[in-house]
Amino acid sequence: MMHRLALAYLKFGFVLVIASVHATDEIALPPASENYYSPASAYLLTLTMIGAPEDWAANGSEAVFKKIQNGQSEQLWSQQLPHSYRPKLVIVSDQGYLALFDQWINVLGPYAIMVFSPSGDRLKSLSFDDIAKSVEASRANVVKKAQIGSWMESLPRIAASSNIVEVAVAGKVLSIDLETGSLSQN
Amino acid sequence: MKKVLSAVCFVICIIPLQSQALPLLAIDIQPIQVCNNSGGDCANSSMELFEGIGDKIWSQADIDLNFLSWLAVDDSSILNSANHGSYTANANPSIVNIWFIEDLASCGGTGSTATLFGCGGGNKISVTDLVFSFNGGIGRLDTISHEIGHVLGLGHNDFGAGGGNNLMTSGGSRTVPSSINDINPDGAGLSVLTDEQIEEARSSDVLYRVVPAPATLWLVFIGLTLLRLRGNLTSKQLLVKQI
Ligand SMILES: [Zn+2]
Repeated sequence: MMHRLALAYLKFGFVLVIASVHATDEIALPPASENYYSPASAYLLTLTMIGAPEDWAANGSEAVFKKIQNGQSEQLWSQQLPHSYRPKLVIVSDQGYLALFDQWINVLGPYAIMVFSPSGDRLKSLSFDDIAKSVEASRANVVKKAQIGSWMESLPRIAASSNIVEVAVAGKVLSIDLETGSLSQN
Repeated sequence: MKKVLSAVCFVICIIPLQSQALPLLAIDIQPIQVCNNSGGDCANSSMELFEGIGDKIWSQADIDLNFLSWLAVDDSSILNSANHGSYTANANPSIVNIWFIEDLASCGGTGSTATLFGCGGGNKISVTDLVFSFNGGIGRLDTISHEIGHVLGLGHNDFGAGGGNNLMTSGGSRTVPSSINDINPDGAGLSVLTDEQIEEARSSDVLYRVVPAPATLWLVFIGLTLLRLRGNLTSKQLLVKQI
């Protein structure tokens, strides 16, 4: 049942005089635009937020992927991403493959890992549950051991000229083959 | 006769078992929906409190969230981009006002460049509409409980907070549940409260002890005794239910 009160009652209601900190629940906004190069700078991904900052959560981001050769860049593809705000982490390989990790917001969602081919096709989309299964750990254990976001124990890494990304999860090392999107455990 | 004796014995045995749990505490929370001067364009239009989520989270501390009937305030000047300081605490210091507004400029001090979901402290909470559109419309299910934690004296990095699965960890580092099934002790075990946090929160003056009415106890007594006499529950089942 809804009561309509005189505004004055609440406006001039008793204000408690106690020493307190007004603590927040907030998430820092991502950069408006950010570049990610492959280890040998052969490819470049640029993530750009769409619209005004207050609309970023709804609009998301656009990915533009370029090949760099002899100091010249050539755009290979661009597309709007489904992530809330944008992906949190990005890995680009020197063969033009791309892996996106997590959403900007920390939730156990469907976009834990997304792998793209050099032509911009989505080769694989893996959820948090897929990750937990692949390391044979309970979902609670994966979260408990996470140091970066909700499931990663280490930053994902790729060696120059490689298409294999490695990331620690729940005490194990997970390998992601960017050519197929398949996961394996070391 | 044996059954009657067994039922009486059960009640005598169970009452001491019940007294071993932490006494149930409660917090009274006054939801206030802010609308524009004409009573339209109201914040939190679906009047969502995520009460089931909050009750599950705070049951870790044996604290019950008691939301009072909704109030509404028609004032365009505090619907958008105001500071947390613009919202008053309740005239009754044992009631926590929770103000629902479209968005906030800051929680106090300097303005914020972050996405601001809510503020808590000084016996009042402010919550923005960004809480309800979060995560593709699922909602930021733990913000209200997080701000209640601030009101009860908990910070982002004290009493064991700081891990991604803790309710009080700051918004940028905390994993937010997408479902009640991922709240501790179930599923992914999110929104955890540590023993230290529970002890600190339960020491807040805002809380009051819930004393079951004698009539309620009497009804429970009769109900359980009847069930026992009808043989619907074995002694073992009854004990398991109590534990
Ligand atoms: Zn906070």
